[in-house]
Amino acid sequence: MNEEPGVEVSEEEVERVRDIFRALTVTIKTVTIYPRDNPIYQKFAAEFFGKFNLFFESYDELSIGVEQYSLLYKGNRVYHSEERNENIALLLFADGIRQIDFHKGITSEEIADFIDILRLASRSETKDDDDIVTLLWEKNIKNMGYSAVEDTVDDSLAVEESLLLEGIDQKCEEVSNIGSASYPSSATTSVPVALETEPLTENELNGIKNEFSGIEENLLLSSAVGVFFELLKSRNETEVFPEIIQNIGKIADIRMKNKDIKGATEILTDLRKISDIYDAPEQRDLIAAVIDNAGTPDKLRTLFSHSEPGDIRQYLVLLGTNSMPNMIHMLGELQEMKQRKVLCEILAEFGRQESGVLSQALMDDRWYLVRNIAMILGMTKEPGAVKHLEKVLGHPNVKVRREVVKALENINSEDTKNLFRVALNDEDSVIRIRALKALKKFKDPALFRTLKESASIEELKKRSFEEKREMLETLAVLGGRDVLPVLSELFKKRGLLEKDEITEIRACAAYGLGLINTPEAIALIEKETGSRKDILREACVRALKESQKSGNV
Amino acid sequence: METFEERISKYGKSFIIDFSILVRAVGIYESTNETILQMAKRLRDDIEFFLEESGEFTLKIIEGSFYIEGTRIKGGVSEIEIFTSLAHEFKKRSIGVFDFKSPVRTEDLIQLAYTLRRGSELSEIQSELENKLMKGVTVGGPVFMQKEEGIDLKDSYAVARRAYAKAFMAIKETADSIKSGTRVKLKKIKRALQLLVDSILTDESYLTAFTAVRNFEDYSSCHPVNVSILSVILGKKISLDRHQLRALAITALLHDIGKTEIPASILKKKTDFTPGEQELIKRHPVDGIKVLLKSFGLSETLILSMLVSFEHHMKLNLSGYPATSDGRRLNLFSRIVSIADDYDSLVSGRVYERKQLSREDALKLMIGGSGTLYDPTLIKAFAGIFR
Repeated sequence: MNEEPGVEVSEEEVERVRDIFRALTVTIKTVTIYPRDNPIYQKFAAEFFGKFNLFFESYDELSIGVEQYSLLYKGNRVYHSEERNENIALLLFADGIRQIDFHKGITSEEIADFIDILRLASRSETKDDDDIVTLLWEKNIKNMGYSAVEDTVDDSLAVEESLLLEGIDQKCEEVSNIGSASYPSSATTSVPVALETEPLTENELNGIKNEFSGIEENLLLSSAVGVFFELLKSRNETEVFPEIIQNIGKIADIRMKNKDIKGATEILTDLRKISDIYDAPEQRDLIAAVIDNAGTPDKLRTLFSHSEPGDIRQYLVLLGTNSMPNMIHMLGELQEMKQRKVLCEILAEFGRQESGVLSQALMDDRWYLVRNIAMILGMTKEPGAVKHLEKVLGHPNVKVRREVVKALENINSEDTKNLFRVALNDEDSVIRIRALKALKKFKDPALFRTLKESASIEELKKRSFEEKREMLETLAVLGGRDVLPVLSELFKKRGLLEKDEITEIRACAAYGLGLINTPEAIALIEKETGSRKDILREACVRALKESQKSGNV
Repeated sequence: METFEERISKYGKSFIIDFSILVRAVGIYESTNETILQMAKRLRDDIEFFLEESGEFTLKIIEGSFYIEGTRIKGGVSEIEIFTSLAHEFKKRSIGVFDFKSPVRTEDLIQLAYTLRRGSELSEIQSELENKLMKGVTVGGPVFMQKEEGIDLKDSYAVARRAYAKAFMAIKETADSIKSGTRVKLKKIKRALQLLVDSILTDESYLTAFTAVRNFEDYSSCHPVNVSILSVILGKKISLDRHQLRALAITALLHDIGKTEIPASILKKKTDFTPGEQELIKRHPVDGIKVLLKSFGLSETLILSMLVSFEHHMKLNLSGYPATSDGRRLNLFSRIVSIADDYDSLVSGRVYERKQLSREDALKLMIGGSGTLYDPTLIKAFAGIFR
């Protein structure tokens, strides 16, 4: 709110300046939406630059006073805004700038730099505690000047400062015996050193330059991490331990942001080592928090988008079981087979310790994810996983149920037996066949009685050839000598017009008899090796061959 | 626990708001109005808070900003209008300072607000306050802050002098902030060292000469400034750019920041250190990391400063302290600062049997360590500064 009368100046001149800041306001708004190389932004920037050029056609300098809400040109308000955001006056004022000068000859590049600085400041995107003053210095805009005030005016320091300045003047006067007014342009010549030194050669200079090719972020981060771990490894830095760990975490974040997976993996590896040294609960918690943070969904997405399976595995292993929910979440998103495989393997490793987390995921709505989890539970080979798999044995999706049976086969513990029995009643024959195959391995006579009931002609007629065969072979394996009457009855079953379905049952019974492999069973099979029914003849021949191979006859 | 500065910022805001509202309100209501009385009471309480804290206090208005006891009072976005309005009232009447020396009565504050409102200029207000025998408060004229534009930027000596002073103040304030546990303002250090870098880039001779000006009473502030100057000059010799030079200046200024953890009585000791004291002093490179980590957020500056703090007493052959792993390659900034640090210490008589060496002897001694203690290229370039 400047109510001061402005300096005598034409309305046209003031209006030109207002026009510049109107254009700047629009450009600032544009730059928050579009990047610097976008044509829309460039159009507005060019327009803004054009207004400057127009002004500098008549004048050499544009000096702007800065107030909280207003910008002033020769005392006349040329910009005013009470907005909280994108308020140019407020932005400049808040950082202590009280005057800003643009000189004739300012280039479009310099204007763009200035706009960039305002953009950074308006979005609070400055880093390293920068403000407009430090950013303006960094950009070193030749055709711009500014004056700024400091945050504090400490009277005691001001006194000290003036004493110091007096001291400097006095000492310089003593040393050189001349006052500041006539101080020579090269002050040190008054106290030369009689050492014979050569200037640096070009090679020496280049050597240094090559070594220091800018302040490279990656290199700096590596150095910082190196120092942090050196400190942590060499002594018990408990006092500053939280800060060190937090900063290590921040660097790990930056590594991931920069898609430097190897760098992030190195940090995690070292953190794991450190957790062996620092074993107080609060220290372990801090380390764990950083490791957990390395396994957020965003970071896992970065990991899978920018790494090879080997690197992915290395990183995931270091995360530990706390990251399992996020890994499972990722499993639901991943498309690429190799990556899914790696993730499943890692989850299986972790699942051995934390099968409960996998169990929760079995309740997910996505059938394909549930199928993967069932597979992973199977890969754990842990008997403890059986109780989780039981929950989804009746899953509505057949692909899930098939995977569950496969998983149970992998685990192959005693408590899977009952679940295979349940699976025998599944509507899907693939599942029933797998269950039969699995049950066969248990060689449990009690199972024989259960299966025998399903081996009636009527029941068998409903099954495919493969299932029939599996059923009767399983009976043969489980029943031993008790099965001979059952199989021989089925084998001998004939009718006047023997239907194919009966022949199929007889052929399957032949396979079963072959497995019993007793002289009675073999004698039965041999009788039909000349059968006119191809399927039966072939079954008998094969069963005999198999029995001869096993050599019990 | 809030520091004094934090309390000033917090209660200063209420003070400015209440002051501004009262001055506005007297333009609307009669002095006997209940609203006016309530506002004056609040302002009285604000004043009493500061009087209790520091006995007496000063409110200054500089360039539109308010300062209480040297600390800038910032309003939130919603308070800007209230702040600006009060600043404008003061500016119109050329008021720059209010000194509050003793408790002020509510009716006196209402009177003060009316006087401010009525008075057209400072002298008029001053005489009215005297006539009313108002003793708790006095009013003064505008305050002007010393600014860069206050010096002729073409006057290299003046710029160098100002740059030295700003850097000196920056490290002093930083050390004070660290000791009192308040936030270190990196941008303030940056602003200070920007001028130093520009001064060296324009004409390094003055600042080189100023490093010979040693204030032994305040070695802990002068030494970092000297090291910063010498490092930047050496950086300039090896063609570091302006941005790199500012980073180097900051890291050099903060290289000994770990010493803020050491009692001043030990640092100022004129006799030899005991083994225990030596041990404590040798911890400052590592303590520097602690201080920096607690004072700054993760940034390029923090990392470089940490490295320099950690490595500035390590020699090229990794002798020195703290002990480190074999194969460490010292950061370029650390190697530069190490040279500048050792040089300034030698010529100040802080090391080498506490004997103050001449510039020539110090350089001879250091050149003798070329390739073992110091980077040979850098030590050669450093010697070139004084040729």
